[in-house]
Amino acid sequence: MLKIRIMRKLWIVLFLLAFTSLEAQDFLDKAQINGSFQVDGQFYQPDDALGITDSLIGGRKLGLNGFGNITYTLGKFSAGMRYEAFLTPLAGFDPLQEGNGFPYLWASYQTDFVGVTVGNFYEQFGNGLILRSYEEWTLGYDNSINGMRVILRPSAGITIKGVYGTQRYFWQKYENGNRGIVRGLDAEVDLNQTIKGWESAAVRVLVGASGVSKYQKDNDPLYNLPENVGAWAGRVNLSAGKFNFATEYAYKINDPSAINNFIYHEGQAVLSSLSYSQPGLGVVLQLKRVDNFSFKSDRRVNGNAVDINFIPPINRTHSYSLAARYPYATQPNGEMGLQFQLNYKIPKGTALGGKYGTGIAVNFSQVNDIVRNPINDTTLVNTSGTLGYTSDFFKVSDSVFFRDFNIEIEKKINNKWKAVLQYMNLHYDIATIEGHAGEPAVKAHIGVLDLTHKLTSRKSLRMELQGLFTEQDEGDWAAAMLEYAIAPRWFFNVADQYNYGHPDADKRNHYYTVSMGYLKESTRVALTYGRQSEGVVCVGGVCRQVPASSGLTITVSTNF
Amino acid sequence: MKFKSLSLILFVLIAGIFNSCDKIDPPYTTQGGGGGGEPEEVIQKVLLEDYTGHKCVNCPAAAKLASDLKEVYGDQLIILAVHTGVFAEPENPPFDLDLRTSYGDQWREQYNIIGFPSGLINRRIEQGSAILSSGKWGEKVMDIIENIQPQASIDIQTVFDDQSRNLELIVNSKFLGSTNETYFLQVLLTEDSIQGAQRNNNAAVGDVPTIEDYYHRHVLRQDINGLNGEIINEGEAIVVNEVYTHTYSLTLNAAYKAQHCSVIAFLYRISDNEILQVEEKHILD
Amino acid sequence: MRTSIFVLFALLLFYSVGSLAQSEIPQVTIKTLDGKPFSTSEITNEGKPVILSFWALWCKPCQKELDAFNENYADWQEETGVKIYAISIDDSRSTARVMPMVNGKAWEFEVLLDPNSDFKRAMNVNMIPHTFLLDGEGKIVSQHTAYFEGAEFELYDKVKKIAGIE
Repeated sequence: MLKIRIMRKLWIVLFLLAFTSLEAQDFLDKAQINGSFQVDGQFYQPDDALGITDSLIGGRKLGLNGFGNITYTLGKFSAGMRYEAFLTPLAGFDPLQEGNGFPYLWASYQTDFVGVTVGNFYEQFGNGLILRSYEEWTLGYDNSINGMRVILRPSAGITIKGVYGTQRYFWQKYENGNRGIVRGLDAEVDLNQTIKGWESAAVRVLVGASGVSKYQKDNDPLYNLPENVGAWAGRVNLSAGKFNFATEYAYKINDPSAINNFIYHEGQAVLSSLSYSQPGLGVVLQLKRVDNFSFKSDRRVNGNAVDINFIPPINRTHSYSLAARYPYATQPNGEMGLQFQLNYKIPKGTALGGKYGTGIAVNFSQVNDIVRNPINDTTLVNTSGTLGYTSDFFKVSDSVFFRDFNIEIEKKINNKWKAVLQYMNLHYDIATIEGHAGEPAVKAHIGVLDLTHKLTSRKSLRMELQGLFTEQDEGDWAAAMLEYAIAPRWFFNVADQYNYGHPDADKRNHYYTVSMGYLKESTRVALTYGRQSEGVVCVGGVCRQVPASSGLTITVSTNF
Repeated sequence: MKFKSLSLILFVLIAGIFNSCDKIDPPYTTQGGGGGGEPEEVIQKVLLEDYTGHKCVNCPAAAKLASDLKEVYGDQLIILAVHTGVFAEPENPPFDLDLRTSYGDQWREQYNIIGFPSGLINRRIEQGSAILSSGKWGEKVMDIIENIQPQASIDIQTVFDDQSRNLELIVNSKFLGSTNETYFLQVLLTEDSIQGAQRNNNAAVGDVPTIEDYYHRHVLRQDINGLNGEIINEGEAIVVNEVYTHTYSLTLNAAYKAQHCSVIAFLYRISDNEILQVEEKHILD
Repeated sequence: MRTSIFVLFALLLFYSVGSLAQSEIPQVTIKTLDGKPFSTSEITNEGKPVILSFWALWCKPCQKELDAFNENYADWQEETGVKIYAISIDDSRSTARVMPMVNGKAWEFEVLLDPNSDFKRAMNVNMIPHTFLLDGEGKIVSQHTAYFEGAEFELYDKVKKIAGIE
């Protein structure tokens, strides 16, 4: 009750702040209202071949996920809200998602010197290693912080942020300590702007430091748990001419949780990248080490929710459906990885470059487990209620979680034809990443050809041919897609994915779809009828299992 | 100058955040006293329904947690392992064990349990959901045991004939306080320590990815009085301190080992399925 | 409380309909490719039109659209003085790869980073690609989502209209 009263007062104060210098008429005339809206609906139908029966659908024949967003801006004041309704959630979304209401309400006042926000907000410190709240509609992921944020810019090049609040956990209100409280502080300094004489130095330097602490009461009958868990991080970004170097290190004290099996090991994470680029050429190398770094505002939760931090997976996110079939997700309990990427444009007018030039991208990434040693002779690694293990910072385990080597060539052949050709070689530890214990790692070759043929200046045909070849999991796949588009209004699309190599002959299914869409300005209406194969959808570091389904999908999206 | 003073303030603030950190020193675990109380005294017991399956990789760790909790709370905590859903479907050996029950299937569907392991603890609903991931079990069990006054007592008597494998049961329920709600009595049969393969991803609990000779504990085998149990007070108010007696007779399935079988009986409220009191009795005791 | 806020919004919406068509871009702090803060109020072009396009490394149609822009950029600039800003909504998993890829593709326009989607949210972008066209005063005059071959010419027709070239 008290909290609501305080919030209400803050709203009033913010409104007064915003309007003291304005005439009443400005309130209406000078204000701006923006918003957006989207609804995704799916009608499910039984499909014997996919094993979808009436009882599996269980009366939930229609899933609807929708939101509406409104932002009001008047000079330095702004406020916004988002309404959401998951009635019932689409297949594959967390059942806790079911519900409707306003999970996102905020007001803020901003000048060049100070910015304050009350209500729900999204924030990120550095790379997000110790704090990132964000929202990803396609996954149903939202860990917004409900609380207060102050951003200060005392002088050019210095930014200080302070936040505190509780995180969203689906529709459950925060009350009585049913989850933790998060508070954090971040400072970032651009040395070239703050140190005299460095203004025009060839080396550009940005440094940052942050600290986050969470409080959650210890009510556990088995363990003596830390009620305050602190984490800190430091980062540097150096750029000199064509080179850019960035690194961030983060540390967390003991934080036993459902994710790490209630061990008392400390946490560490490092993320570094070095890149060189000039017009026509770009090279980047990234390294990462993560050791026991899941950080949630509720230690008891083991699903995709209430994460305080974000550990970015460093591998390429693929866009073509079969290339994206086996996506990697960060293993927060421990991993070591690297990524290399080369982008090169063979210049116009050369033998390989042709009339328009040819784009080449080579990408390699690999992620291994870290090495864990027992803390003594009698305790197994990772035993609950112990330190868990010790780990050598520089040692890499032989166990490979993920490896992806891919080459992509982009070529404009002539005025009528464009082509993208991609090859990918994949090693995917399905047992670890998707929890299919005992299944062998998937080793796959994947090829993609994407051809665009321009018919007239506004009409085009696009064709995708893909193949995925593997001995493991569900075996070989082939996919074909044909799309006819009349820019910028209409598109029509037929596609089929065929799992012709499934080890079980009864499951060699076709997953066909027919879709069409109409677009005008920022409004998009799309209809798809057909089958969707079982799979994993990942955005950022978070993934969602999508069950096989069959039926009609409709999406309506607009903004104003 | 400005920069210096700012960094000082920052340092103080960050130091402040860290000052409030709780670095925990060993021992990390608390020592349990074991449940109990005076023999005559009615104590509140807790039922942990662990929805599980032998192909669920995270389930052995949750089962270990449940047994750790039982070490703390003794007889006050009763565990019921409900094998159901895709993770419990039998497959090629060694995963050919079928521990599914129609009771498990029905209640999984009723609660729309998708994630495994999931627990129901006295089926108490909090913030719209009764389903608890294993990280929340300990807290909830402690909360009920420490804060809930018993409102009913259950007494189970068993007579088992080794030759005919006939099991006679008497379940006496008694309400200690008045209530206008409608209650059901549910009686179930469990078998402990059924040996079989189990998928696992936690090396601290057993072999990864498969524990070949795993003991499935507290396995629900069958319902004794229907998928929903039976009503205690049809349209009538509960009479305080009156003993409601129910008797059952069944032949124990030849596949079940009598020395591992127990009976679990509980009273639940029909309005929200919350369990008021629960009792467990070994059939040979 | 929530109801009253809702009513307030409904009223504001009702009274402000007149100003809808001419909104300006909100002021949000995002980042340059080398990680420095950048205020979106600096997105200007001395009275000439601006194209603002949201994209990401994982979005193939986005890159096709930007490639198409890049092919024509020199001509477009010469004729109308239009300036293109490409806003990458890649998060920290891929921000380090944005600059090498932008250079690798030899894109000639300005690219900015929006690693926690603050600008994307403020602009109410639901899906990418999402492209805005701003007039010389920085007002949003048109926008579209998705990209299909040839859509860039439709956009350029509008740019020419703003620049006063028919």
